[in-house]
Amino acid sequence: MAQVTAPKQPITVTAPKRSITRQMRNEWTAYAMQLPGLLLFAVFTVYAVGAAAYLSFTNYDPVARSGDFVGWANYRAVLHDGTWWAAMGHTLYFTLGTMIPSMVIGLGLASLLNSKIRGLSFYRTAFYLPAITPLVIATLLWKWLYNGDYGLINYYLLRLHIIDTPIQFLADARWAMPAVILMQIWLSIGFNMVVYLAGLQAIPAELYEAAEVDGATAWQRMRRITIPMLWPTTIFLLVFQTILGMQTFDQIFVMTSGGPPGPGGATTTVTYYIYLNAFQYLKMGKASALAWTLFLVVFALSLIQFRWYVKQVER
Amino acid sequence: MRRPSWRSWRVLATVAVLAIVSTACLGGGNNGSNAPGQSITPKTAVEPTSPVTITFSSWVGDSPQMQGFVKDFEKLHPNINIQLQSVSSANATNKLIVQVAGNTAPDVAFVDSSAVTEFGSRNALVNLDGYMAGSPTSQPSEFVPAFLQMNQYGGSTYGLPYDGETTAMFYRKDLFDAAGLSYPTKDWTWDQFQSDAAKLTNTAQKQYGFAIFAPESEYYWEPFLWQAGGHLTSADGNSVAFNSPQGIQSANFYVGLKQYSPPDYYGQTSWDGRVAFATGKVAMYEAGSWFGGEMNSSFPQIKGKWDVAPLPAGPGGCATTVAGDSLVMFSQSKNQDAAWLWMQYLTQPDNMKAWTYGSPTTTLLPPRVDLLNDTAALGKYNPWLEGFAQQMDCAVADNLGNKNWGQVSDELNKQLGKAIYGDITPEEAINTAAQNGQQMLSGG
Repeated sequence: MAQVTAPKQPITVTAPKRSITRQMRNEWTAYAMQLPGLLLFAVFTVYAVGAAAYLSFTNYDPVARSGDFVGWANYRAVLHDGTWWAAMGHTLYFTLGTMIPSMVIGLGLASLLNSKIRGLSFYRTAFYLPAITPLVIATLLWKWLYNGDYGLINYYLLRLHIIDTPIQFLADARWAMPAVILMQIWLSIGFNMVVYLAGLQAIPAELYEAAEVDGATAWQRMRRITIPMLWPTTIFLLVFQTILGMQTFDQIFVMTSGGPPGPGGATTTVTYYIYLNAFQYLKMGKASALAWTLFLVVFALSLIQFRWYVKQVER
Repeated sequence: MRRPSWRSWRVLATVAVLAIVSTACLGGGNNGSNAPGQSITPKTAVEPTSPVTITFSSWVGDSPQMQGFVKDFEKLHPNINIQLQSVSSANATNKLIVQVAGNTAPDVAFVDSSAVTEFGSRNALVNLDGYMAGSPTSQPSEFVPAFLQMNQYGGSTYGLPYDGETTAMFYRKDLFDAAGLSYPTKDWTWDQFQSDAAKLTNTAQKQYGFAIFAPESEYYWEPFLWQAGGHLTSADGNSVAFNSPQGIQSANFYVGLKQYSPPDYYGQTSWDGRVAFATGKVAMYEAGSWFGGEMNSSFPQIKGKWDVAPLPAGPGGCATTVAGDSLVMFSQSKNQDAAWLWMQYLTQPDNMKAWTYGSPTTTLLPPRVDLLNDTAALGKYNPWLEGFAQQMDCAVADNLGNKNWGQVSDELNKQLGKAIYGDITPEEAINTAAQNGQQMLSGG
């Protein structure tokens, strides 16, 4: 995290001729070793992203395998597309709804697990387990929990007489997004906890000792030492979770298919809408324009968060 | 800190990876469709002289019936080897899209008939007019018109109907008896249907006359639109037509049925709702013949307590939807004659019969005229299938010749769904969907 800014001066080669060849040989070995990775990166990232940029100016149809150049029409269509704006709203709702609770709970758990209690590694593993569960499996599990006919959640709510008819969590427009968010919080707490735990352990113990000597309460120590010292960690998590949230796809695909009532409905996020356009409506051009628009939004958000981070850390 | 920002490139990458495979062909695309009115030259498939392999993509490859077909066919055509590709029905169309985009399409595929125009309108399928005209067993006149129509685009046929179903009304005889009502007949009307639904509803006892599902509202509202005399789109498919007075009347009638439907099922699908019918919570159920098969296999305890009637007739007469599966051949196929021989074999009368009502477990209708008219054989295992066959004359294939219809369908589900939840009126739903739908049809 220390190398946020690149070195100012470019590396210049001023060595005599003979050592240039040796240096080149060394460099070539290095390049050769990087080659497999670079090739993959070139094909699946650089070329793919470039192709998406090109396609976003066409109305390419993947089944007809043809299309024409349409200029900025796809981008104009995106801005006038009500479903896209709604999807942006759903994405924001999901991102904020997930990020804030999961970071607060993650910090709380990390503080608890930073102390010396019995079975520490068991708790750390247990809380981290959801984070390493394959996403689709976790999502399917929750889909069953939420099921209106035989789901466990409805079963207990009914048994405890909290409700008298089952709640159709994933089929009711009011419940679907909160239901997906709840699952995502469960999923991301573990990661946040581990990152916060690392942050906590980097805080010098002397600070707390000094504070205790000065008679600071637990809350004051949290407020005056822990939270400020964890600021870089918090911003890292903010950036990371924002980007992750903006890219949410699998959960929606498996759990709700963008509904209720169906594709384009209450849980259609931007990435799901991109998928719909690309593979359901077969509008590869518009899908590419949507993807680029999303990229620009995420890029801008990350940039703002980075600037903020640099300012905070330098202070 | 750099990692997460690189992640954002991946979104782009995922979308693009598939697109790029076929970028090279941008601007290409062959046009093989007949102009309407153009005469058709009969084409006879030639038996291959050296061994060829035909790939056949479907979700039915594991069925003993299909395996038997493959063995039998390979015996009859020693030079043709059938290679089965399996895909789940839910992912079939998606996988084919990816295969076509990547130039690795199968020779023949078993698809939901709604996918035929989707691929046919994009020149991805072989125009079958010539083959059909030259075939001893697959002449166009041998197929039920509504089913054939589902497989046509721009006046040409791109898919062979293989099995099918219509939408009809399932009803609980025991609940009708208990309410002292006579069973629905072949010529019952909207008024009778509504009054029956009202009499069968007792919300205090959680007893309902009907069941309505927001996520599928567009599909199950369609027959009511046609019964009112309306249409989904104009004849050329370029503009919406469902916002006619008939469209609004049918939306009012259909959405109005929610007062006779269990509210906790509004957000469900007709698959989830089957339990409500099986447990007697719901007395009438609008569904295809698949539903009867499901009742037979999963709820045998109510056998004999239910039957099937055609859908009620509206101000514009009788109407129902058709759905089914078709066989298509992709234009990327290198052995089109051999592929046709396989398609022709599967759809010849004895094989289609074996595939549909010839087995006790299948509840699908055969889309061949001669088989469908053979009522004695049709009802042999499942007498209630006659309820479906009776309304065959009313089947409407509102030929959706616009390739953007799928999006309009999503939009209608969304708006009608809102109306079912009471957020907007049915009229507002139709008007909003029409306004947005028109933009989608024009390619916006």
